Amino acid sequence: MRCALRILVMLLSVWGISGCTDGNRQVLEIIVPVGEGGGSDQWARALAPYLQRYLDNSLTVQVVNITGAAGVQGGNVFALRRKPDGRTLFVSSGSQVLPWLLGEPAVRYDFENMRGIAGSPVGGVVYASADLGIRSVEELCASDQTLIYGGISPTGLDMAPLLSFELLGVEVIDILGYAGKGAARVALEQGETNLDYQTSPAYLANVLPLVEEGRAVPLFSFGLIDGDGQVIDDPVFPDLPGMRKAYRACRGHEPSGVAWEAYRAVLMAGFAAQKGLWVHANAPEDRVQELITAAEKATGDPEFLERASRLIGGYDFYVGDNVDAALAETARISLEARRWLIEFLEHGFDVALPEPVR
Amino acid sequence: MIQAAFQALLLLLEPSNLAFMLGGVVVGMVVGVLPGLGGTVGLSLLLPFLFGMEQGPAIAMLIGMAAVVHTADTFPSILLGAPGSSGSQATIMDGYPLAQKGQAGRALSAAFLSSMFGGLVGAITLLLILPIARPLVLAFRSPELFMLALLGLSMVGILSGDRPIRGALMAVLGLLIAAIGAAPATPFYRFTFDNLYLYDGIPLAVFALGLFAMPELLDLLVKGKSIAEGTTTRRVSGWREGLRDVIRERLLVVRSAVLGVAVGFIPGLGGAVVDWLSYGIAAQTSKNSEGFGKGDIRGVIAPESSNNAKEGGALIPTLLFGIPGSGTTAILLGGLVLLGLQPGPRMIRGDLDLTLLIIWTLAIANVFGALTCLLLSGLVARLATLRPSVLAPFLFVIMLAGAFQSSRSWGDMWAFLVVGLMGWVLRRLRFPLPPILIGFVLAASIERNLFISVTRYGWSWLTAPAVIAIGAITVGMTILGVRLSQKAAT
Repeated sequence: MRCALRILVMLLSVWGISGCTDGNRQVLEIIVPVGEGGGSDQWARALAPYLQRYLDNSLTVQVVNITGAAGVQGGNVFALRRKPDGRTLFVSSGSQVLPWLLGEPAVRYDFENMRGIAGSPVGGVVYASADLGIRSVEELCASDQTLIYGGISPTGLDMAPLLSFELLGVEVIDILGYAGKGAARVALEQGETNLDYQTSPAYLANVLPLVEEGRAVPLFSFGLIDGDGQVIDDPVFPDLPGMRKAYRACRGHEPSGVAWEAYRAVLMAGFAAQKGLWVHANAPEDRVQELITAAEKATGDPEFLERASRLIGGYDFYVGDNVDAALAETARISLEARRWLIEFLEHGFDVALPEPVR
Repeated sequence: MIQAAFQALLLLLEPSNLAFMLGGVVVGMVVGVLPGLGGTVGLSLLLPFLFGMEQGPAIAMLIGMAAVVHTADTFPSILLGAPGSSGSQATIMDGYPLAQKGQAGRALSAAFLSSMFGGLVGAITLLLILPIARPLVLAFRSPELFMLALLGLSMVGILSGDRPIRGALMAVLGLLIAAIGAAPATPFYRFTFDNLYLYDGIPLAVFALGLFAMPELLDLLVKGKSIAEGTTTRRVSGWREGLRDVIRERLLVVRSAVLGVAVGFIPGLGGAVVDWLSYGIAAQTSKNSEGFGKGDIRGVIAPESSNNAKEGGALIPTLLFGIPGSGTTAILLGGLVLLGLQPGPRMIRGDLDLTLLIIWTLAIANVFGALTCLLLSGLVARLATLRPSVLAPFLFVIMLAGAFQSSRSWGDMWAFLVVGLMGWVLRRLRFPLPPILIGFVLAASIERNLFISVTRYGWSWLTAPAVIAIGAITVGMTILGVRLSQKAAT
């Protein structure tokens, strides 16, 4: 009996130790607002050992997952409960930036009060089932077939494709509520839907084989945003028109207006600044510079780049002020564009959002 | 293919790979034994070590862990009446009564052996089905998934004893509690009362643990007797009996394993319900089923065989489509991406060797896990003879800590206590508890797929042949289940 108890105590202590944090050494905490294995978690855990390599040795880099409130809780903890001493960092993705952009009531953090350390973009490609017989974005705009788009939620990354259909003037039936982008892609393969988008890594792994078999057709990419805030073609998909070219092809003129501004803000929030590593804006300047220098060296480390290449799919990391710049357009979105976006979501998708104030 | 399979086996048998697999097996057993912890916690423990590891040993470690959780989680289910992980809830139904009769040794060994065979069947099925799995997975559209979830809900009939109305009420209660938090198909939050903890709903591990473990613990303290009230536990004889049981019920073992694989590979159905499905079907299709729920060894064999086989099935959509088939495979997916593998069609064409390595690891880890558990079972079975005043405080702490691992926020503790008290009161009022859990687990799948079916197809999906077929089975199962449990009660 005693032996059995002893085994149990042993098991318990093994498990207890694994949950403990080391209180004596100085810890650089990286708050990840999603669970272990999630996209942001993979990104943070890939970067963490290389940050450690180029940081002062007295700091131990530690990734901490704080989940809850659909990914908002981690940001709230960072903003409200962590001291701005430069020893706590926060990893963001579209799931943290978009609720902030939309002014969701649960959000208590503000990217205006953070400074970027490192970040990376991701692209997205809209493609169609080959059954439609559509071969290009021009044919999509001219099509009179029933187009059915499958997605997860109108307030998530699906905002980008939904806005792009609106801008292109394409009539689409939206089926939202799929459990994930994987499930939405399977729905397209089943014929339940016939339009979908995937982020670049998922596109290369799961859609490209379908394209090669002649069962799917890529139409356009969302594009990326360059230093001047302009939407450019996606460098990973040079043969596909970016959203700006797609717009010109369908409408015959350059895009402009509040809808286009809203699209650019969403594109930045969800894709161009897809992953970001942030510190409190009022953290000590020398600590921030130290972090930026370490991030610069880490993201230039060929070993890291090789390991992270599959994770981020061929895009370049950016560090320091460039991270803030990547989100600047979202932060600067005009009140009219914000109003337009919220009205678009409320009328089109029955989403209830608070009235924008700033 | 055969040559490739042989090469993959050699790769696994390399000492370093084998060592990492055993490491994974140890972690899997520990999280399996501790109530409330399961494969998801195990993977979170392993993930930090993953970055920078070679693909081979890392995969051996991950899969080794995932393979044995549902073997080891049987200990607390049978000995304490508390689920060791969300996969072994149904084992409580008959395993715990067996332990109360002093037959814990028999129940444990039968459970481990059926777990082992179930796991092997799962691995073999995975191997055989892999080349033809894509069209199979694609056959299940949203309407079919909705109907399958309803079929799962019909298991409530058999699990409600002689009170089908009460069982149905409890299932509805489960559906209602699952509605807390973000709605699955629309961007709305329900019943959150501005409390950030409730935004994500109550985690399954917290809910299952609170529902089953707390009432058991409280009853134990109230009665003041040890679990195996005064009976002596027989270590060795139990072992042989368990082996004989499994050999006698070999058809049930195979049948339940096949069911486990099938449910596992249907994405989105929720692997957490497979043990209940298996239990319910075993009870409905076996002869002399009056003893189910009172300590019938078949009620242990069926769910244990299924829940190990499920992991093999759940790997099919995970590897081929990148969509997880169970909670464990959801995190496994993250681990694979971290290793530089992108699950998708290429797993058969380009990365076949790694896919085969996964299958071999699954098979061999299952055997290792079951044998280790068998060796330990005589020792651990004596837990059931402890006085509750010694055992209960210790268990209570473990369970609170286990619940806390779900989201590591105070809300987990509160949710555990509230759900536990609710479970205790309901049980005192003689409401059956399993239906609540079934409703809770299936709620998201039911709502999501019904929502998609209606927005996509209007009402025309109701006339699809597969929908009608599954519907007919559901109605048949419900009637049969209610009749059977009424007969058992008289």
